[in-house]
Amino acid sequence: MSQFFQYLLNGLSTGSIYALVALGYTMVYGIIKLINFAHGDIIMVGAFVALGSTSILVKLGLPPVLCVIITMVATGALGFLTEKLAYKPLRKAKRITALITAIAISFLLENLFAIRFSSRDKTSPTIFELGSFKIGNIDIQWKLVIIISILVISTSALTLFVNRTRMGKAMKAVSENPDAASLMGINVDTTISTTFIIGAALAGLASVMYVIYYSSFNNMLGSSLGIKAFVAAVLGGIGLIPGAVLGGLTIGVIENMVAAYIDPKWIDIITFSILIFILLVKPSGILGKNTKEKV
Amino acid sequence: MTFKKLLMKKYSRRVVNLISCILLISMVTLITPNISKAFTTIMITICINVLVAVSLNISAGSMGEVVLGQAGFMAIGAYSSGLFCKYVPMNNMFLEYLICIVVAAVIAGLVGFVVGIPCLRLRGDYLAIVTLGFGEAIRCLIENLDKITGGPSGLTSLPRLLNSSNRALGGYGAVLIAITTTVVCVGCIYSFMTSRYGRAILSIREDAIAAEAAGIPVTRYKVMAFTISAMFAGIGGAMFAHTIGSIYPSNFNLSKSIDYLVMVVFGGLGSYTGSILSATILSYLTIRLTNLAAWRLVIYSLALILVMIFHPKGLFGIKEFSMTNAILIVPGKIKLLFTKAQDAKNNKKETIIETEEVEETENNKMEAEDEEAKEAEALEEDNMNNGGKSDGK
Amino acid sequence: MENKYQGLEPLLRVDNLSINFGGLKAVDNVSLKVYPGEIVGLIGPNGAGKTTVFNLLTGVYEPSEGSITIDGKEMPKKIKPHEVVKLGLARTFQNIRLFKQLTVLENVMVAFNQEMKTNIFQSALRTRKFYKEEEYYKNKALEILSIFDLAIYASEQAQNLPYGKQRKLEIARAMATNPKVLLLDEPAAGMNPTETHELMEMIEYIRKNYKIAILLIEHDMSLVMNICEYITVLEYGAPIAAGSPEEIANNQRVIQAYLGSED
Repeated sequence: MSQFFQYLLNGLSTGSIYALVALGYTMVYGIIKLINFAHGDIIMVGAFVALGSTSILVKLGLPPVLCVIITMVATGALGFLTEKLAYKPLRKAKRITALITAIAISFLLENLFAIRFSSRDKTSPTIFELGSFKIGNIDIQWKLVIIISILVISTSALTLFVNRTRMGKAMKAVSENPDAASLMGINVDTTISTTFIIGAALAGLASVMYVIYYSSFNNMLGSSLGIKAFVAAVLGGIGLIPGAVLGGLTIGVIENMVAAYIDPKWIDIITFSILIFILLVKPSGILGKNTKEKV
Repeated sequence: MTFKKLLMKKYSRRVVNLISCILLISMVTLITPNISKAFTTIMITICINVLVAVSLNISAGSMGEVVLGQAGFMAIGAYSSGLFCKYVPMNNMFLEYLICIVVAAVIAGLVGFVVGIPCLRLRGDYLAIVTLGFGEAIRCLIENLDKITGGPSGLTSLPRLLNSSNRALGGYGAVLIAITTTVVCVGCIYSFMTSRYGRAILSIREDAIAAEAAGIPVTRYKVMAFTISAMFAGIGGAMFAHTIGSIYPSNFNLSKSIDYLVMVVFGGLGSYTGSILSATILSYLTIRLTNLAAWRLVIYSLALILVMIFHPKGLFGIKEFSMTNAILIVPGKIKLLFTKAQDAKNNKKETIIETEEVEETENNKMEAEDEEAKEAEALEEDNMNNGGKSDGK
Repeated sequence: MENKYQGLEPLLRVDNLSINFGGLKAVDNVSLKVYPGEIVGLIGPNGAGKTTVFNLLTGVYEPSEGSITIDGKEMPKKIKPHEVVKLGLARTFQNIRLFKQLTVLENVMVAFNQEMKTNIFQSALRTRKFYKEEEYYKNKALEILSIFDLAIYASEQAQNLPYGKQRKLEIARAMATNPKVLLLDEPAAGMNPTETHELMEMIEYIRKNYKIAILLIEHDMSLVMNICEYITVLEYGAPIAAGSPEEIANNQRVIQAYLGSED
């Protein structure tokens, strides 16, 4: 039984990473109805930034935790740049065009990093030196606690931001109807850029979580993590913040259970089957509402 | 004028197309000094890539859905062909190849059908992800079912008919068989896509709700297009297996699927001649620039982004290139361009007209085979001559 | 007026049609009869549920109550839009929905698909039958296009047609499905008076020569009053009046619905 709780806890922490990534997908999809394929690769870039910045911070004698800020700023900037350079010119274009561009950006980042840093595994930087503690006979690592609490804090902050601030309300308005929003005096461009920046900064946070949790990463981190996070977003209901969290945690737990009780080889196939299943049964996700295109 | 009329006759169109094909092939053969091993490899790779790119164009171009799992269907084709060869050994290599192609087509088609039914109810971007996931899942499955497929170490020592080292036919025969297979398959795809089915599939891309209201069973036709696309990708996979002789799951990864997407996008989503041309050029470049292999994908993706932003129509847009039309229209257009350029010079105007002209020429490269185009052309020709609208009859 | 169709079977018959969206009754107990060769108008203020009636008729929505009968055959409740076409019901859309990048001819040819018989293999291998059928339907399509004065645009892309002609092409496409009942959703929307006049003549022509039932939604009152023989008025999903154009024009309830009551 204690074994089971151990797996559950691991599942919740990987799930927290997925959830944070899924939030980025969901926000961008919510506002411009684009699956930002490059989102996963922004996390990959973030992991590299975290690696680089930690070593610099250590050299400077500063606490390595500061790499969180550096990473978030870097990924936020990257998100901003991709939006401005690649997606903005295509805002009025067909969806397929924007989608192909997103795929291309993802591919570009993966391959640029493969050339610059090779595609071999990198060892994750040490950000915290933390052990574990025990509750009953369950061994709980501190890093898991930290990861899960980062998710809780960031999700609550994001929810507050979207519901309470002016910018958050502008986001909601733009996602409903950009034309009407701009008539109401909302600067649509700024709003979309902000969404991208927030999504990408969350991705930066996710990459720090990733390097805390996993001992190594490489330039392909984005595509596998990206797909799973996307499945999570769809599972929970794309466009919804609680949906992303619910979906992420569910996928994380299922994955760890599969790895523990069946065989880790089947993780990807099972994730994919979940996606197909949910899209068949309820395409709008667990928390989403079904809508039909208006005639 | 009489020459033009002669060219516009239904059958002379086919003759022109045939002659230009023969000319093209003989040109290629003449340029290359001898049937070397490298040449064989290039030609066969081009054939395979053309076929798979054209098959992807059915779903990505004509149906308008981004499919990121084309390599997955190739993998199914390759492995079903490979396994067939392994378990049913035959003496006649050519017969074996034919059977393998049929087996690959049937199995890949079946998988496409089964995957298509649930997936095609989804909207575009979801479908892209699902097909991406599917492609990866197929690869994982092949890796994990190592008792049957050999896992990551692959299926090796398969018969290699499409290889210069084959005992039966040699390099020249191999190239000929590959070309024939591709031409027959592409021909079938093209005539299918210009039939009522193709028209219905195009109408779904344009407006699914209107298509449904015009009596098109949208889901059924989408599944049909997807299945056919998978079938021919499967044939491409079987050809691949027969070329290399050993297949590994890593041959069919995501970057392979993206390669094909790039080819289709560059050629123009929806244009079959465009896919053929860009698949040929890109495969040739890929093989020739092996020392740039690492940068290739970077260049591809950058080019893809630029094409999407600045010229999303690709080479031909949704239009087809046709030799007859080229003969009929291009000289006139060039003349027109020339006179306009001169006018522009006289009037000290800038080159805006010229860009307009280029676009118009693109519009003129229409499909050649049937009456429809003939009429279109009559109209266009009149437009060209009179500069105004005229009766189409 | 009513006597003209006495004893005839209506081609389209709608009985007590209703649909609920959540708690809202978008269409409430609507009944209609359209006889062969008759033009019936469906009018009402914006949001009265007119297009929803069309969507119910064409299988886009499933009605909560009521029945639809086409030429004596009752339409099953659960039916897909493309199957409705086979029963003989064709429609146009309020916001034009053409196959923009296809040619005018192809737009009409698509509608013949349900009649065409060549199978996949005949198409892929281009048998003689394939060519014959294509030729036959191409001529048929040109015939229909010439009714709408569109034949000269046959090889133009649909998106390049002027607005009024796009509307006509949509009707031509609907006619190509060989319907018994034609549903026109605001056919004159966005047309200038000349175009509207042409359209009216065309609808008259179709009615005379094809003997089909036409049901149309329209805001252009001159058109409705001129060509409709019978008009049903909806407000908040429910029918509030029905009758000849004269009756409707003088109906207090209708005037109120359009202009608001004076209190």
